[in-house]
Amino acid sequence: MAVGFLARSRIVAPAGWSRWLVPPAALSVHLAIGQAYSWSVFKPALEKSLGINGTLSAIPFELAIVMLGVSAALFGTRVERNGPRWAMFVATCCFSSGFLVSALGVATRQYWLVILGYGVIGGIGLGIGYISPVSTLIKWFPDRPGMATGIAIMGFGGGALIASPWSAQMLNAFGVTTAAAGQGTAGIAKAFLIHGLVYAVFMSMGWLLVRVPAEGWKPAGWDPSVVQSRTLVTTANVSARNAIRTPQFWCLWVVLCLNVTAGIGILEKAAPIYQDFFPTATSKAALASAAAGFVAILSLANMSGRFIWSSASDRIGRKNIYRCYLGIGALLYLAIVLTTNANKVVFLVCTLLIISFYGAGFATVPAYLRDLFGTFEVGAIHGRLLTAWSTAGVLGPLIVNAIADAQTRAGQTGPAKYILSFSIMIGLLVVGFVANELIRPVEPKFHEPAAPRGAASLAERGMP
Amino acid sequence: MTEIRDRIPAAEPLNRAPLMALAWLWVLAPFGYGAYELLVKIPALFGS
Repeated sequence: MAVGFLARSRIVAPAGWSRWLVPPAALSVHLAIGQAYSWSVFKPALEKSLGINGTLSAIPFELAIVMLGVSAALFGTRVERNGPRWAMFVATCCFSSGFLVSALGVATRQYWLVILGYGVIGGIGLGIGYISPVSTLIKWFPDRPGMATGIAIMGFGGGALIASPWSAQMLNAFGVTTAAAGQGTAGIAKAFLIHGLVYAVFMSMGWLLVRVPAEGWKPAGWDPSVVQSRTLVTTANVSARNAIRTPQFWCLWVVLCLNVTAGIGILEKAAPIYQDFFPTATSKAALASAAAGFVAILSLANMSGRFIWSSASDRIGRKNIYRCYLGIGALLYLAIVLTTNANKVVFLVCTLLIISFYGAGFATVPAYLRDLFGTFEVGAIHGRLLTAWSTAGVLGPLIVNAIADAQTRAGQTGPAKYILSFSIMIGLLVVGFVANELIRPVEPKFHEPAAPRGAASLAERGMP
Repeated sequence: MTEIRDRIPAAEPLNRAPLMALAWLWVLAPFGYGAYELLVKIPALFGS
């Protein structure tokens, strides 16, 4: 149990504390750990200076994403018990020290230290940091949980947006991009060191500012019975241990896994997909710039979808919004398969919507969990559900890359290389749609006994 | 003592305005930088 400054009892909000101070606390953590998606900026520099290949330079990122899922699942209950300040502090320490260990690894040319630092230590920071504000935001915004978690998880999408140009400019300033092969390790080490220190300061805002609402607090003028009258929204609570025994959890696991897999189908190879669909630019450089513009606009759709669609779910309901992500997503993929490159506007609209649904799938799922399992251990349940993300992170790229490579070997060119993999994505989205349809309210046998358990748990947490 | 505590909540929302501004600026400033860097790349998509 966390003690002293980090204890949950120390961060119970006093009367008059504005709940709008909690989203920036959450964002300062998510905008930082979202840096993970910009790891590719470091790859060419590491490959050139340390003489490693692309597979090896990708390991720290891949391991970090696996550790995200594993640590969120393993430490979810502890995060819930110790509170958001403890979780954000631990995430800050792990994420920042991951960079510092990596800096040491590059400076001493010991690549295993980069894998250990960024992949393992930093990856644990990703997992704990990702789930750290979720439960707190849901408790502060019981009237708009989709919007609240949408803001935080949009931050994770926005992290790479900040880190990509920042890291690239730093590597350039330290002479890494112009260094000869085998040189430039000092510049990369310096960049890692600065990243570690800056992120430590930036994330501090999170654990200094975060507060939990006092017991019994609710937003002024909010009537809980309005939300709880919806079919899937429960008034009961389910523990994380019991949640994974319910079919609802596993249906949602399949929904998240397949929605993410389908999104990665485009996101993973966005630049080559664009170049294969529209290779008509005046020069190679113009084509590369257009592809970079396509990647940029997809990032914007990924990020804004997290906020817009997740906020919309507060109005139209979680099950309905996932029907849109999965059902309309399948139709959009079908439109691409049928029209291929006949119309650029249709292609852009379809891909942007698919990626906005991909991001929204992440952002809406904590509120869906709250609806099904209550607020009791929603952060811990969310942590366990994130193993679906780790699985999809392997499954999605595997499908798209393996099929694209096989099609290339078979002599296919242009859009034809992707028709089969996009058709598979349609099938996956339909399976996800069926899994979403199977979600029903959780049976009462899984509910926590109302008074005794609730009272004990609050006492354990040191709440008044 | 109780009287003082009772008076605090009424005064607090005004005192927290600078904290609110700082907190949002803290996250929106880097976000704005990232968004700008992203937006300048998009015109190339429609220029080819």
